[in-house]
Amino acid sequence: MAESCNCTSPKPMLIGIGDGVPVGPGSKPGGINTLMLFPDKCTGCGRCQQVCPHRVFEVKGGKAAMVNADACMECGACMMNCPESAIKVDSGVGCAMAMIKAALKGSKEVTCGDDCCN
Amino acid sequence: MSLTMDTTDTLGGKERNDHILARIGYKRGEHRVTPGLYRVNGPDDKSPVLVTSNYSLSFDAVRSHLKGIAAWVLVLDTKGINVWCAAGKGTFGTDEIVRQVKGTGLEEIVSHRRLILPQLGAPGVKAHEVKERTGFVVEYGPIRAEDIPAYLKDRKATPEMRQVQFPAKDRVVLVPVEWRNYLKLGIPAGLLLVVLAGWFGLGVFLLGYVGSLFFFPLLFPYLPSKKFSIKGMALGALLSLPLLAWSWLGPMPLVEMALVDLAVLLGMMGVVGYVGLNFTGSTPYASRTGVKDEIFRFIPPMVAMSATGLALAVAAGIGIYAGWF
Repeated sequence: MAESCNCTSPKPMLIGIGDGVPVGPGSKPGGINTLMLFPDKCTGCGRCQQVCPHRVFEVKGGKAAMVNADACMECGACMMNCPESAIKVDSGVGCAMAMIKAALKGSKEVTCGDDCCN
Repeated sequence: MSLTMDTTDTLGGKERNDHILARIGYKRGEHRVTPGLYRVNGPDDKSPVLVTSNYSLSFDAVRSHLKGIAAWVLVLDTKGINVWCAAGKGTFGTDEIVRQVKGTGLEEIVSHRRLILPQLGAPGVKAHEVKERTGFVVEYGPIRAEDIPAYLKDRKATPEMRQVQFPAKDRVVLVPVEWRNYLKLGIPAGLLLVVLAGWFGLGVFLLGYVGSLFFFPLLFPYLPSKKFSIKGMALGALLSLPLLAWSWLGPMPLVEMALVDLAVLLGMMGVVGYVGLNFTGSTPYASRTGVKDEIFRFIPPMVAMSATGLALAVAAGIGIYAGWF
């Protein structure tokens, strides 16, 4: 974005100040998953690249980038472990059995354990 | 040192029996080990600390891959649930790590300040928070226990170790539990099919229940589409082929055969499509958004196909008894 600007004045006041503009499938309505990365907050520590089991992230030039965003299964590992809160994802268990069971019982979403898969 | 427990790097008959029972889903919640700190191969204060869940299969996987390696194994209380599922639930999580680190007096036992967590525990853990609350740095190790020895050599996981795989071996072990999960529906449906349609009914049961729950995991990567429902419907169509061939070889009149074949095809596609959709939670691929989308998009056609199949089967049955054909 404003990479060419060397000015030291504070950023203009915008909606979501400080977060910058998110990228990723979740930043668009109807995206295949809810994963969003806020590059402005990223410091390039590489934790997301380390924890993601589907190699969605790669740190390039000191910032995380999504190289395989569609493979995201919304486990939430990247969001949990990002020390800068630069990643957002509506994480949850992608299990139809649990979701259908919960819908039929009218309960909140059940996950693996005593109350499900039994 | 009284707070630690001893264990070994070898598994015996007792463990093998426990694993078999776990794999067939017998007393699923009860395959547990006592949470706490375990010593493997006489560790000292410099030995690595590996964190795992208290599901016996998880604990046994970790310790059996520590052949000749002195290490500490810190077992979290995840209520007998494996690392990945417990992390999704949050029981393999920051609070429980903090509790176990403090409860076992780990900082008195080891001189270093590093915990090695399985990578698949990450969805439940805030590594930076563990550091703040315990002083221990979280290191994410490999996904699979078999890569632990290689990881411990230079404390580096290769990209391959960090990418989740779902090989045939991992898929096929799920089959017995799948059979068990559908037992309450499958057995009455099977009996009904045999009573109403004899050998052909038995064929439908064997392919639709025993076969689909075996072949779906086995053929998972080879079935078309990324949508689980479509994979299931495709398998349903495939599994109905032997039944269609059977009906063609038999002496059935043409109209009846057409009704039966269409009933089998639609019924199998609807039912096995649902089996496919329900397999989402057993794989490391399905996202919540994706599953929600599939539920809304594919359950209505699956229900319609199954209901139409059933209606056609009933019509064929009535037709036979009434001598229409």
